[in-house]
Amino acid sequence: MSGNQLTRRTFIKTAGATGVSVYVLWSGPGTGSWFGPRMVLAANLGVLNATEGKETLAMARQLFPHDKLGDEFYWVVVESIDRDMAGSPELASRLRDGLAQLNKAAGGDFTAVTAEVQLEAMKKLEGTPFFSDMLNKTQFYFYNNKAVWSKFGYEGSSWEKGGYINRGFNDVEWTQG
Amino acid sequence: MAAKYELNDESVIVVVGSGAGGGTLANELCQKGHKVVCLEAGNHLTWQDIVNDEFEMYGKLTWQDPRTGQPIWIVKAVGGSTLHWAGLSIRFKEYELKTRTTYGSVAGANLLDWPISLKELEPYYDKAETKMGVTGTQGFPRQPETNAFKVVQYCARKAGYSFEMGPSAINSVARDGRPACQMIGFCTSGCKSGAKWSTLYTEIPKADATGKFELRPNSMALQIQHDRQGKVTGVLYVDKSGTQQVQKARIVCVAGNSIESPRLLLNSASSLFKDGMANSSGQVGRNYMRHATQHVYATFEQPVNAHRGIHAPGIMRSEARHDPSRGFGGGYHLEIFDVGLPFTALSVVPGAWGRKVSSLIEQYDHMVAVWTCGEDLPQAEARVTLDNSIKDQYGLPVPNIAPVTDHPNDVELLKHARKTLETIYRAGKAKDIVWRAPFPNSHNMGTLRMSARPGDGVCNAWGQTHDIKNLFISDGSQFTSSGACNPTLTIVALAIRQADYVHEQMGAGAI
Ligand SMILES: Cc1cc2nc3c(=O)[nH]c(=O)nc-3n(C[C@H](O)[C@H](O)[C@H](O)COP(=O)(O)OP(=O)(O)OC[C@H]3O[C@@H](n4cnc5c(N)ncnc54)[C@H](O)[C@@H]3O)c2cc1C
Ligand code: SF4
Repeated sequence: MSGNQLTRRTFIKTAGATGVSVYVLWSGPGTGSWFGPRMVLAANLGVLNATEGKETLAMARQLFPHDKLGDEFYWVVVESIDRDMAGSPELASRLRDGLAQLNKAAGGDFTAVTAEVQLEAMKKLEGTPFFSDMLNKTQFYFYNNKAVWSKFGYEGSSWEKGGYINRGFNDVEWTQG
Repeated sequence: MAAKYELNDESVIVVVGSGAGGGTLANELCQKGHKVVCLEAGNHLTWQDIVNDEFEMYGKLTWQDPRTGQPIWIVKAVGGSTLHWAGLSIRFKEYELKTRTTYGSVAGANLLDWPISLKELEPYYDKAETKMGVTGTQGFPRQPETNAFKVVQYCARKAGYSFEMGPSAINSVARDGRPACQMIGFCTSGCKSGAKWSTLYTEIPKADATGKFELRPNSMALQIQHDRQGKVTGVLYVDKSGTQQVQKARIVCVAGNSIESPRLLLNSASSLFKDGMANSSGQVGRNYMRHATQHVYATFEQPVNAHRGIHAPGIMRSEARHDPSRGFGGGYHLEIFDVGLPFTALSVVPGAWGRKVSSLIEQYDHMVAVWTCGEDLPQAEARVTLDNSIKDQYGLPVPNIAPVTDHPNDVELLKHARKTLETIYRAGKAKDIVWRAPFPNSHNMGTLRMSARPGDGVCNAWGQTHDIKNLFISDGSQFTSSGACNPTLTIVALAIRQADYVHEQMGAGAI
């Protein structure tokens, strides 16, 4: 059996995060397509409807808020979650039900309330399988996006540039004092 | 030129696993002219397969067959965990080999002295360091100081402590047909330059060159077979096409890492060996150790860019000593250990969300992390057993790693290490200091331990099982204690020593 065929279970699972069950990553086709910044206002969704897409986006923003990053970085998460849902009816129904609950907890429309109310609503659902799924998937899809890396100073693949031996592996100077 | 042996060739030595222990042993035996078949469960990756992408490599390298219990991080590929490893190479101290004598009887700990002294090991440490090019030893220069090192050393100096670069099995100068480190910064995703020692591109091609070596990748050993007298006769395995085969053998050496090795012996139970092979002591799978570890991050006003260069550039040795006045036995090394943004983001505060986490990740390039490698005391109930409720793709019961709690000694040690690190970071004016629980266990030791008396352990001072003369344990499972030392250097030293012993015993007709 080849390593590439192995299901790529999350690092989160092996990292021993609480209550995370095994799930499959990058199972869908075209995994390369969601790398790279794109200015999209609405994603191409197959399972989530437009309203649910916006709710997922709003929740993703609250899970890992980075004010300096535009919605396009979070749409990547929404599309990836949508793709996972397309591959698993069980996941799809769990997440859709969860979104409905989230709206209820927010008094009707999660996307229409203030950030404080959103946070309150999310705290009510913390610990549910829906919440854990959203948390783990958002975390993985958001931070494993190459377009996001550079925003936080991570430079990604370096071997083709000869590593950092001549590009700043020891350029810190403030430690001399 | 690779050799090709018949399945019914009873004169070959079968080595299970091609990692630190198995890869080294196989090469050493071939150099002495012995015929070796190496069964390796994983793929044979090539240079093209190595990319600078943490999750892609995690998917390609990591052992992901089902398991239950504690989370474990080991590799399933030719080269084993020497593909993931960070290269730190530290020798055991004499007291760490004599824990029962030094620490006395400690409640809840199954302490035992190794049947080897440091004096006996030293010549093999010399050979291992020479083979692996360990910086700061045997005349190999240290690496130049990296950003992460400079920042941690700056803090340490202000607090009256000191770190050193290395010792690492990463070339600091071109040698042994491999280049010096290019500071690529992906050591734990497979080193693209080959500067980091891995059996994949050192021991294995060298064994190949002898014409005595046959590597069979994608070949999972299922069971070790024996005759009526209890001598082992061969290994049942699944080959790359999915067909079961039996390779006959004169000697079998098990080096599947400390989870799979005991599992293989337990799965080799028979009417003669009801509790599993080589298990007359009842110690097979017991005394599992994985170091007392934690990760402490700190952020700074000024940039660090720790991702540029070696993941584990250096260590602090001064707390690696036995000083009961600190409130615990044994000691710990502090080891700088930074990973890329994808791993950091997913592990810095596991399970947490919200602005606290995201603002931390925003400081990724202003952050360093230091890992504790502390002695983990062996507990009889910390053990690997078979979980019969789940079968893997070969139909075998999966291993269970009992989720035991840390020994109180480990808990005290970790508290002390955390305080030391906080003192160090504060002295360097760190902004946030963030503690996180251990990564999945990457140092696995002790499940088939060495003992002087057959009743206390599974193998003798050469890794030969007490019960069966032609069955050897050749990986970290042999460890009688964990020390405060990353295990690989000792695994390699023991493999070189075992090869000498096997050669001698074969020559004398004893096996
Ligand atoms: C991220 C990371 C960083 C590390 N950093 C360091 C470090 O800095 N210093 C250090 O000393 N150590 C480090 N380690 C640990 C080090 O990698 C291991 O201790 C060492 O490689 C173990 O050697 P081994 O021979 O016991 O097993 P491995 O090297 O894991 O080899 C076992 C091999 O056996 C194969 N196998 C298992 N079962 C079977 C079977 N039934 N049939 C066929 N094949 C089988 C596996 O596929 C594997 O290839 C690190 C580990 C990780 C994961
Ligand atoms: S930093 Fe050095 S050892 Fe690590 S991956 Fe790069 S070249 Fe290899």
